[in-house]
Amino acid sequence: MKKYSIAILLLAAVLLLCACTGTTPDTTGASGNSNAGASDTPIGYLFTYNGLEFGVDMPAADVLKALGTPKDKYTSKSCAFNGEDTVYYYSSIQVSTNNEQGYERIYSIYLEDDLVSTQKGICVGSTEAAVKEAYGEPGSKSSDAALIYEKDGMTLTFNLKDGKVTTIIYNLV
Amino acid sequence: MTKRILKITAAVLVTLLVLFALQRVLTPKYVSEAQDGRLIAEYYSSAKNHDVVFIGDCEVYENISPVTLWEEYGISSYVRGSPQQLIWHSYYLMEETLKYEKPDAFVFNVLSMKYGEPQSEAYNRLALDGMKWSASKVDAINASMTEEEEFITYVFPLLRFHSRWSELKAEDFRYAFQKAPQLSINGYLMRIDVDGVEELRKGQELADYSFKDICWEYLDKMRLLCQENGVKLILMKAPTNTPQWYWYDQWDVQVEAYAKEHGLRYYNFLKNTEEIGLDYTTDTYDQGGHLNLSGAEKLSKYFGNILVQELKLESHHGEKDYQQVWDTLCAQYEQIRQTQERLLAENGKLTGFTGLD
Repeated sequence: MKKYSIAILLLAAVLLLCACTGTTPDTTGASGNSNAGASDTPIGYLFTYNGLEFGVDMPAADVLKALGTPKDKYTSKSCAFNGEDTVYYYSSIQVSTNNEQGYERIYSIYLEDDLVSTQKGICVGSTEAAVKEAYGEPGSKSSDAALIYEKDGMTLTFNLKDGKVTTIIYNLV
Repeated sequence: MTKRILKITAAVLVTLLVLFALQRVLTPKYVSEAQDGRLIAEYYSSAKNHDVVFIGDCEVYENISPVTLWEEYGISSYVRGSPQQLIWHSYYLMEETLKYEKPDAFVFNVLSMKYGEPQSEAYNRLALDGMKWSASKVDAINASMTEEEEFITYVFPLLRFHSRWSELKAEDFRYAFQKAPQLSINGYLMRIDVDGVEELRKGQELADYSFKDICWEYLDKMRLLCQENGVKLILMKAPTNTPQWYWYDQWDVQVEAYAKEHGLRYYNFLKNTEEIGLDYTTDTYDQGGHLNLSGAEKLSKYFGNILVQELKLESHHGEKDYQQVWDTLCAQYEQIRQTQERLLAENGKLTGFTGLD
């Protein structure tokens, strides 16, 4: 028995290695099909559209239902992983989702005209000064072309041209 | 004493064999999922006499058909592509390719200029695990790893994939010690189905359109590598029509200026869709993300003509070494096409790529 002791010990180590629960790289693009564990609470700066308040990093289902039928919708698969990205086109806004975690989650809200505004009243066409007055000094990633505010793992970006807001993006970092 | 040493040696060998077998079983095979993870390794069994080697992400391996280049112009080509291949992956694949052959030109698809940092371990694995061990692979791993990754897991994938034991499928055992069936035709992945799009999509405005320094550095490295080896570097941007992979004019201008400064040819095929004959309502299988077979053949026919002129390539049709290889590849291409036609007729849709299985 003694002569097999080394082999038994080594094999035991191997089996232990196999039994332990490490993290497997995602080779499927989806790790489940429920949104268990997801929070319904959006993070960071919120947005209100037709009376509905929502934000990024929240499950998309209820928001999409409340927003109604989009004007257009585009879904694309990633090259191999990370599920599918979908962009929903509504009047004045685009809502982007991803189903990497097995359910659709909002990762971006894009405001493209002056018919909608942020909760602090900034819209396309507002001046750079108005943005700073409403939101304070922007974060370090800002430039002449964009004012970027970070909060709770998301960013609110005001793209600028000639000192005026051209588009506004709520983005999950 | 000698007997004891022999016993210990035998025990160690048995353990190593078990570990090796486990590693072979537990490492992903990319057969039923993430099939494009097989692409990089397929290159090694190809004939290494290519006039042109395409390097890049899905915009090359789904949009360029080497069989069309062969049939139309007698060009011998290969596509060394992998999903979301980043520019440092591309550089080291180019370096590695030069150890096997010296093509007339490398064609690099520039979409990856938009990514200045590793995106995910999964994409690293798809690009790197299939590479044979070499100095290029070592450098590629070191250049690519995300913060959470460790080099040793590329040397011993068991350390990374050991927890797959509960996810194992029949294919993990079936292909543990034998190659999975060939998926691509010289790196090209075919899709014959159609899911078109009417309008031209637009990308969302960005806060910053500058490419990261590291991307320029690797583009410089590619250019110098090609220069040192007497291989022409050609830049391309494949035609796509999606908001996600939108190619901004601001990016285009930067690549164009770089190409001009260094005397490189840069072809942005987004500007030539009419001449190519592309119709996004019929030539894409995922609403503009990638071209289907019809679109890829149109693009390849158009680009092939440019390559012939640019590189002064002569047709290899009828040359015994080439003809034999390409006759086989053309037959395999046809086989895959017929398989997809059958699946499409039976199921009404395709759910993935099909190879020679």
